[in-house]
Amino acid sequence: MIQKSEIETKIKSALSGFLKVEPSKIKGNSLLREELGLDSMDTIELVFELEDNFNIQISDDDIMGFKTMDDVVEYIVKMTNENK
Amino acid sequence: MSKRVVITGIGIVSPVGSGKDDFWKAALAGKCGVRRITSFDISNYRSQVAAETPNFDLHDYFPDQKPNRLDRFAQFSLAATKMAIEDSGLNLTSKDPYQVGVCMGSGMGGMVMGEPQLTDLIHTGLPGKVNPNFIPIVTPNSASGQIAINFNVKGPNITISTACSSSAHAIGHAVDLIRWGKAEVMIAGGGESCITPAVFAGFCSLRTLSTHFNDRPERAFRPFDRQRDGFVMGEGAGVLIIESLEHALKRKVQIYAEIVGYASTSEASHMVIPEQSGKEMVKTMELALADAKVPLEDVDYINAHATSTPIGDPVEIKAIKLLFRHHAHKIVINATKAVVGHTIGAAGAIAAIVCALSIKTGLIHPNINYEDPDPACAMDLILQKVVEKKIKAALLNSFGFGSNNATLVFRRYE
Repeated sequence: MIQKSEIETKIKSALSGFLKVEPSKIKGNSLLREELGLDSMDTIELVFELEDNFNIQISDDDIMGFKTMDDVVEYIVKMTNENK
Repeated sequence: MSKRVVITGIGIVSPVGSGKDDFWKAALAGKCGVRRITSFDISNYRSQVAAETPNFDLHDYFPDQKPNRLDRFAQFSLAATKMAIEDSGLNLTSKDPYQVGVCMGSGMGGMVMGEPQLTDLIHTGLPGKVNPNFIPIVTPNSASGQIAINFNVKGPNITISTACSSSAHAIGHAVDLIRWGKAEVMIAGGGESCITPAVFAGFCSLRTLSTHFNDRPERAFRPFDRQRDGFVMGEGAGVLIIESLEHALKRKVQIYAEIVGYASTSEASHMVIPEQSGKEMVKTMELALADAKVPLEDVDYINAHATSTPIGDPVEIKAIKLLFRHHAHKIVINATKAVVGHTIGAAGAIAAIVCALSIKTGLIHPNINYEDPDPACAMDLILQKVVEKKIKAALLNSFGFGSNNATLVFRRYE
């Protein structure tokens, strides 16, 4: 089973890839849009990378629920567990 | 009376050097950027050479830019724009942003990142793996859009895609926009990067590329030479800052040259073969000179379209002879494509930069690889050496697939 910390690391790495933010500055409660500056295109890119990385499908409705880093991590944990 | 339009800034990314100084030094030295292709496995292709632009890194120009949001042609265009703006001394923050526009050319759009999205989808059958950036990067106007976004210029934002003549048309249209009072300053030019497996294969299949010089890449692009056997693809970008003369005079800036004439016509003849009598090319040049109000005998330099194809080069020379008659042999003619390859949507812009620099410096670069003059193209002043000349007026020809022609006329500003 994929560890939560591993998921976090992967998401931070994906985020820092296209945001001008150091991975260490991304906290669990960081607001994706307001604090990290994700615009809608950044979000779509993030989702694309997550789908690829974790071999999951993320629906448009689910994307709307991503407010913080933790939301994304929890979502991926749930999805990867469902996929087992 | 319509406004006079002058060139005040130059930016270039090319296989033989980026920045106007490095590029011009290389062109005058007779350098050639053609090499064996290294960006993908070329071993099964009929043609195996191209002029690739080595060591380009967008972050050298825009440290914070996300490269995955721009395909290579748009990255080239953005870098060339930065150089051109710096060269022109234009302070964009003090300008009304709606008075500065962008008009760029691109023949193929974002193929370097775009093409693998298509080929991978065919391969995998997985639409979910198509990158969300695919559409914004593949569109030919992504370069003009990125330029506007990065420099906050809000005037007309146009992209012209007329294959190999795209950026000559883009510059011509930008000139017209200033003449018509739609903008005071235009960022005009073109960018292209499509030396990619499928595009290259397409040009190979069209039998337009040189195949006899795969072992001697630097000799493959040979305009007007008897042994020419097709063009060689290149990549790069050329950008000019053009503005109304009164605007330039107010800013007290250097003026490279004046753009005095432009014509755009269709041969309405054939998608890829030029009309063989040359009368259509004559017409385009004639209209551009009439627009410029420049008499034939004032033209002393022509930057020819000259793609080094067996069919194309003689038609252009025939047209020049038909139009200029006895004066034709007094005109220095060269082809910049032999230096940088055929950069498709950037070709007209790079040639325009050459016209501007030739007028400004009084030096015309050699027509390289012209070792065995083809009698069908022979002219007195196609030369393999640098020519020193105080140019009065220069003419640039740019012809494109789709049966379309463009001619620009430049004059020394005095």
